[in-house]
Amino acid sequence: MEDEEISQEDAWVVISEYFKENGLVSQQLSSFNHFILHTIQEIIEDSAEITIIPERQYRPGERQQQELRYVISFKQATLGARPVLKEQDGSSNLIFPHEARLRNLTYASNLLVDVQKQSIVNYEGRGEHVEGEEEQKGVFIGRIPIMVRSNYCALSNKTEKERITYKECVFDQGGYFIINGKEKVLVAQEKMANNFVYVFHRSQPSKYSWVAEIRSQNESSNKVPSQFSIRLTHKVKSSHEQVIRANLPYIKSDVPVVILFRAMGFVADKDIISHICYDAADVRMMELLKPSLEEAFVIPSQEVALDFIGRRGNSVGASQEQRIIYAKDLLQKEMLPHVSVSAEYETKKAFFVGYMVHRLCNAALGRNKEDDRDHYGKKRLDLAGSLLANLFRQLFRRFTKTAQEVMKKQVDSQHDINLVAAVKEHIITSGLRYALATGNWMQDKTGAVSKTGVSQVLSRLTFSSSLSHLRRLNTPLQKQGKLTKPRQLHNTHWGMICPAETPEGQACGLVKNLTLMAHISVSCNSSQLQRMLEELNTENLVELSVKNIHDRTKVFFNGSWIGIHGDAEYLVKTLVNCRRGGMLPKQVSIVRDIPNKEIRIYSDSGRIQRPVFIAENNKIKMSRYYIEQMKLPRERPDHLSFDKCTELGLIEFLDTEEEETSLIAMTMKELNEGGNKYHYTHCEIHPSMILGVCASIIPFPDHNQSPRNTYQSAMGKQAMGIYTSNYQLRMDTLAHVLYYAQKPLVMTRAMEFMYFKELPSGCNAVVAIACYTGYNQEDSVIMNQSSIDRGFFRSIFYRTYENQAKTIGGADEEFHIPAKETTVGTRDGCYDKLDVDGLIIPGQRVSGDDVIIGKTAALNAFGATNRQTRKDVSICLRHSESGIIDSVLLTVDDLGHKFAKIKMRSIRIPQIGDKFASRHGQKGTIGQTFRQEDLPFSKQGISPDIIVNPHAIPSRMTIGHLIECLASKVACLRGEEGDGTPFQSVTVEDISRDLHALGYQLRGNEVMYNGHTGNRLASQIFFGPTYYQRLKHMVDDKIHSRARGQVQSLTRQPTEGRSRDGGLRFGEMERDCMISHGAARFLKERLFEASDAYRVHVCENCGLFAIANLDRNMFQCKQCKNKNTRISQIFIPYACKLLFQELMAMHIAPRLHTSIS
Amino acid sequence: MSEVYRGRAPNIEINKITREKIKFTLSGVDSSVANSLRRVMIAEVPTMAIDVVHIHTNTSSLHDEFIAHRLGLIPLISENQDNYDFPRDCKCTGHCEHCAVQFRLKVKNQEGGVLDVTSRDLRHLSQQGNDVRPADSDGPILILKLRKNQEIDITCNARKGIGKEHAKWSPVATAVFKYTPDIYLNQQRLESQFTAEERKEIVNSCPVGVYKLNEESNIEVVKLNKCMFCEECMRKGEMIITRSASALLNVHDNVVRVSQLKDRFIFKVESSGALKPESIVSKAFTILTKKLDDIKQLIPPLINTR
Repeated sequence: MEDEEISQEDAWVVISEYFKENGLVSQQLSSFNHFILHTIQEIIEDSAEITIIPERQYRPGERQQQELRYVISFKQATLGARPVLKEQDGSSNLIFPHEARLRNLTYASNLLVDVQKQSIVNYEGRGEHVEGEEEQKGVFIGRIPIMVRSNYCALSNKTEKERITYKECVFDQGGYFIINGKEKVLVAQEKMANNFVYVFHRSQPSKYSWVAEIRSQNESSNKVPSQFSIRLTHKVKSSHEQVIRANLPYIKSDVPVVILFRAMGFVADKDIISHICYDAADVRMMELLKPSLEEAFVIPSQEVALDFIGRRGNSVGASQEQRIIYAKDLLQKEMLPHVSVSAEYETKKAFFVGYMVHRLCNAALGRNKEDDRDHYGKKRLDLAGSLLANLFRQLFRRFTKTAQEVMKKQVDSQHDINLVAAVKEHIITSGLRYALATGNWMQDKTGAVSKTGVSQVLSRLTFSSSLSHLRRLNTPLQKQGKLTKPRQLHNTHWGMICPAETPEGQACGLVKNLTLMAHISVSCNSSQLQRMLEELNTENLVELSVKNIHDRTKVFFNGSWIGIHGDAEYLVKTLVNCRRGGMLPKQVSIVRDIPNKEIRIYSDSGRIQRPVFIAENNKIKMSRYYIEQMKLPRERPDHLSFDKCTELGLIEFLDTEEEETSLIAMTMKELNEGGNKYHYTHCEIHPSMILGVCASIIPFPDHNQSPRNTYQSAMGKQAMGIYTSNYQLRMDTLAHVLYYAQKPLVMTRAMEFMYFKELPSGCNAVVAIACYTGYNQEDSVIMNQSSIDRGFFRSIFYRTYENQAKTIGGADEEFHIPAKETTVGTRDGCYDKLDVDGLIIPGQRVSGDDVIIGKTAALNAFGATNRQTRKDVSICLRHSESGIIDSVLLTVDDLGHKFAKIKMRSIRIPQIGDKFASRHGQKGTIGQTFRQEDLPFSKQGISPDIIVNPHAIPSRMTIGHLIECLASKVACLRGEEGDGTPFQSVTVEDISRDLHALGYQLRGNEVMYNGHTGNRLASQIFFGPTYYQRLKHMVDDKIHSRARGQVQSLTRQPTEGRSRDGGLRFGEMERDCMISHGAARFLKERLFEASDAYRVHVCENCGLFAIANLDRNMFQCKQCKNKNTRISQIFIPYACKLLFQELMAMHIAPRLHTSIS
Repeated sequence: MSEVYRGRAPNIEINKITREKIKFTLSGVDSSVANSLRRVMIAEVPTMAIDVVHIHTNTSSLHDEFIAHRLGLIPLISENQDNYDFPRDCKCTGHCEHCAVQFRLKVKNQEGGVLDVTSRDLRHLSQQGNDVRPADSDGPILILKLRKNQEIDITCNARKGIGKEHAKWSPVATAVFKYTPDIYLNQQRLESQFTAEERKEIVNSCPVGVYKLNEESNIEVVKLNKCMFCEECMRKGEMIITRSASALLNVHDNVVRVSQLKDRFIFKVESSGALKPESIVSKAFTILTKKLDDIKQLIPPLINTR
């Protein structure tokens, strides 16, 4: 049994175990946990100490004192064990996510830091002495929003049952924050990886033909990555010389690369060449380097080279020595900081620059191809953790700066340092909250926002839409850019990014979604790995002999070259074995690039990884024995967990780069049948795991035309269902819940892990593909009215209205029933439904414009008349909606404002115009409903719930739709669940055979009879159950018409939009129609006389508007001293009059010259 | 139609009656008559169903409208529906004993656990109308479930209506007919041009097993009424002919031909439980005749007497 082979079915045990262990939002949670556990402390420790040197005070008569300074440093940080809330009355309470959601609170924990204060006295000439040292423990420096269900959440370690008692959804995975009661997701941001050398070709208009670039960033620092590039000029006709130049940070012009080498202390030509061209016999490369050496011939020594560089920097008017120091400093700290920033940088950096030149030359000589910008191995994802870390770092710096300023002031005004007063905790608290609430991430000094839309409100329409939202990636790229390359699906996306799920339109291909099993690495401790490399006989760069480079393999660690190794095979094997044995963290990736003789090892964060089976000798190492262990209940000690599998060397996580050096069998069958033709290193766990959350809902997606899967992936997010199990307790602004949601007859295996069975979003409708009366043309469907009567696709719609009575800052608002006598501006709606507290009574039936929250505000002294003292600011129901008040909540928020949330519900019964869709991108609206007797019926008396038009099928090629129907029919007859998982062996022929055996026509066709006449329909009808979704778009929310109504006060034109009872625009094209019909008079009547006609008076002298007093029949133009004569009355659109006045405000005089015709 | 008129007389032959189902054969009529009967059974035979619901207390997890909808769908035994008026015909305003039967549903879960509230918990408010009660001979119909201390208190009126207005008043689950199959086998050709293997193929092509091979391995129709006109056998026959050498001969003449008798209808009516299946049929006939009568009334007397 130990090595008995496993079947594809057993793979599902492994997958199931993976999801049980990790859930679906593990990337969010682990990233956040890492941030709290490591990053916060690192940032606080890395921050510079605050040194306060008191302004010298001279007191007449006193002797000069010794110099004193204070040093404030931040030590150990502690996060409050659980999120707390400080109420307005001063009390502190532990809060749970549900309370935070309801009361519009921020779910955050307190961050406390130990602060050390040292006073150091400097005795002149006798050194320093620490006079006083004092440590203040646990200084509150701010509130950190806590990710729900992370290790620091109040729900961590709580069982399912306990979570129910805390009013949470049983299936909620967390992974989001709660900011002011809104659930916020931090969408992962894709970026180019740092510390990678890219070689690109540039075409003619550019000065250079080839460029090797790197964005270098030191692991531990937080500086902006520094750009460095090596460039090769174009061949110019006049001279055949191509020279290589380097572009250094802060240096205005390019520096010949040889000069750079000389500046680093490598003066001799031979020395330089040996750092670039590792093979002494490589004549072509030497030839390429020759012009560069000749170019730098005039710079013979290190000093001259440094001066050459320094001259081109920001050192205007500096002396030569200063310039040299400046250049040295620049080379040490600014150039390639990821290699080294310490003093002995020269060798390492020279090797690295040499390597870059080497790469450049190889590309220029046509030995290597240009690098692929869109290769996913060169991308990194910033998740919640790193996004928060960047923000926190910025805020903490601002925090220390303010603290320093305050303390400086305290000291200068002869006070002792008062830490508590100096610590402004609101900087961090509100800084984090602002960024999370608005999505505006990181502001620079000028206040410009660098990234927007990072934080988004979690979509709660369907459970799968929430899940998909938590696994979304965004590429911050200009969306208008015509470049199609970054939008296209890349080979390296396989298994990491869903090929189907991406929006259509502007963001197509830029917004992506992780596949189900994709996992994102968090950074791990690198020192251990580096030590290990050394122990494994990696020759250090400082010690190695240049001659050896050519024969041996270069070893890179996180992008920096650390040495060479003689036996690459051995090194890689040992490292991989260490990782498989659990001695190295599983997120380390080890890449062996044989053609280039390189080994690249990565341990940084933000790489996407996915698990695969390890194969050896074309055999999967996972065996029946382990599968059986895995099947044991989780409590058992001999249960095999997924994590344990990675330590046993059965499964490993590959990232995109390492994946490229592996040969992965698609299926176990392929592995077995291949013989020894290929030497597989791995095997996919299941190919259907290349899909993301939304695409995993589609049955038989491998039978559909690919855009249809993309359409469905977008549509699944609009389907109604049960979006959480606690929907009755939540107060979401908008929510739809399906009455009788059913799990689909045909499922995919992956749906199980997304709790689609528990929280489904659709119904199994009996669908006929037929024309039948033709009321289903052009993507509409006919629906069975009798089914609708019986509750088919009925749904509830919830809307929550929210309002707060502001009492702080001069405002004086109050919830109560406004008294008609003392209140101005009362609403037209009905106030009778309000309770004495001013809020509507639960259970009340309400309709458009009814007042649901009675509220008044005090009128200020000017507005108040003697009788009326208050102004009505009541909240009314939207005028196009009606329903029943479901629940009313009255509480206090964290600022002590009284506020109310009112949840209204209405029942939405399917009607003509409502939108429905199958799971194959086949959407349609109801075109007609027929009662049961009018519908076609089969031999058994079954009439369809939905009739779709056959024309929806051929051009769209959604064969999956048809197969789903067929498989559902079999599933339904057998009382089993059908399996629609993609990439498996079930064929249409198999399903047909089953159906035939069950006594049905094998292709699912049935003879049907016309319900109106009773005659048999001429052709047989494809008939069977199909899972349908009801989409959120419903006519009742869209229907709109208007005869006359409100106008905007500024332009006096009709308002826009349904919610404001707006007009329907008679646009340019409609206008063109009228003109071409010769209906110009009609046009004038409609667009002018019946619209915003306005009478103005114009002075005939100056052509500008004149003053008119129609009561007294007085007209004048003041400028022209023109009274009552030469003034014309004209009619123009009010918008035109407005335009003229606006032009006049801009010193443009629109003159109207009138004449009577 | 080219068919010869056969002297025919309408006839009904009842094949099977159970508590919830009736099967009969209607013959000697056209599909229009059969279909009228079917349509009337579905949409126009009146029954009683809960229509107006007053909710006094509802602390259950389902909201009021949900419960009201579920109550409406409970079939009520309506054999005596003739005793009640349609609400629109009743002289009363609101409701009275002539047009409504009142129920009360008052349940509270005091024990803990989950308490099922079913149609058996519906109580009549008054002595009248005891004949109208939930049709739950197959076991109680679940309305909702209550957790500890949850409570509902509802009064509701059952009123008379027809399926045209709302499907809850439809007395049938399905009412369906099909034409009578007529299968012609060209035995002579089957024997001469088909191998035994091919004949077996034809037999197996039928999903419902209409055919059987007899001892001489000839095709025999055994379950004629099972036939659902899927024409798989015809297609199979054609396919075999076209693939065999004799394809050139007599292609138009099918060896197997399935056709339907257009004046013989096999009906199947399944009751929802509100009415006995046989009374659905007879009531449907009554309504149908009344409809015809009503039309007849509209003919001006002059023509009538001529």
